[in-house]
Amino acid sequence: MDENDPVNSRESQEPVSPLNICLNCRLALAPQDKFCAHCGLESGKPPSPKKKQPSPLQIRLKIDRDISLLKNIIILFVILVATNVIGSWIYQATDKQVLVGFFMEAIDSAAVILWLFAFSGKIIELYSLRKLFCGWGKYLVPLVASVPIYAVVHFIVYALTHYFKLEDYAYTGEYYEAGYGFLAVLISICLQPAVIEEMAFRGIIQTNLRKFTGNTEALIVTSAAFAILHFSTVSFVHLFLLGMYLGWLRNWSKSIYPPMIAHFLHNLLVILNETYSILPV
Amino acid sequence: MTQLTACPKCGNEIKPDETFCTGCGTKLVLTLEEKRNKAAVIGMKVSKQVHKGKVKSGRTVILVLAILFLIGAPIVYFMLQSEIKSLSNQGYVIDTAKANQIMILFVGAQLFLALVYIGLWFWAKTKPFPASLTALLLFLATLGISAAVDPAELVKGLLIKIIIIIALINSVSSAYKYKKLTEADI
Repeated sequence: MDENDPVNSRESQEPVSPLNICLNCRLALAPQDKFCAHCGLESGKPPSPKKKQPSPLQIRLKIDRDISLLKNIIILFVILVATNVIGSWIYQATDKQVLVGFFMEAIDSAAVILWLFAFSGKIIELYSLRKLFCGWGKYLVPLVASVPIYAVVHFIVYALTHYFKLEDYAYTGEYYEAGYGFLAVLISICLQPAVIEEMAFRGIIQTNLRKFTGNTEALIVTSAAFAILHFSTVSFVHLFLLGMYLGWLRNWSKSIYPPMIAHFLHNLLVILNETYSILPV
Repeated sequence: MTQLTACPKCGNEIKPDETFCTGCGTKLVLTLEEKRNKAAVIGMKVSKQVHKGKVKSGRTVILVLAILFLIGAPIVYFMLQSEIKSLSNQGYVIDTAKANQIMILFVGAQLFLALVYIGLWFWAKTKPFPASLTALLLFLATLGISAAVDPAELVKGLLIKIIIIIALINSVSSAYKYKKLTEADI
């Protein structure tokens, strides 16, 4: 090897340091620069596709909006509790108990429907006609499961009331004594709770809570709220489990209609048993 | 154009026309929106610690409620017993079966709620948001139940009830905010 050869000499064999350029903006980088002074990209790294990250101010705004929605959900629950409380005060003070019941149901229905249109416009989609056609299988499950579920619930209530020597409570008793027929009982005890309670719990509360927490947690919170709103600690456990079943139906069918059907069928079996004694106890 | 001579993060020397530090990549020239966002992040980091504290307080309130309901059960039992004795001494005829029913209902409800709140306390350790929300809704409903039975119950211990409600509402709100801030790496 000739030391004077400019091409093949030992000096010319030493590696030449490559010119550093930013792979994003193509500007030259000094050898000691670890980051580009123009765009901040790390030297030698290719630009990564920019993910649209919300800014801290946008995050704060979203949190504030979510908290506002959460407060509205709690207010709806408080309204439902308050109507129960006021209803029971008027109920104890009058002999027109059934009329009081009708009136409080009307207040509850108005509150839930108004809330739905005022604060939850996006979940009106849940009640669209398209959701009515969610598959025949989604209706078959509540249809088939209604009888065994009612039987289990009825025997639990029977066992608790007889073990603790509590009075049997008949939902339909007051209606028939006041002269109302089966149709009034059907609307007041089956239809209204099935539609309005499902709107409130599986529709408004559970659907909105899924934005705040996981599906299971939203299901548990909604079911606990549903159970306690019936104002009966004796019935709390089975109402909680019933709420879990209805909430599961709502998640599985992605529609409000199967839980409405399930709730309606359950309450229908209650009044049929009270009216016609379809079960042995 | 930055007036800094050294990077505020790594101390690297900065030339006048540089927008980013060549040592650590920190942006040196911030737009007004970026300055606002940076200030917001600082505020949110401070508030995150406050939220953490409120979540802990909420969990404590749930435990306090569990203890109150647990202690309340024998108190309710003895109160009802003394009420029955008092009425009996005044000459009233007491339906013993009915009286027993009422006692079982009230005492049983107290014990059951104590159990539920203990469960919620454990749940709040991993999932503070749903646990606090459930505790709040249950507490509001039990206030409603006691008011439905006896309206005078609504004003008994009103201050404590209001404090509990406020603590639980703060816990619910803070649990959610803390979770969101953590997810956003703030």
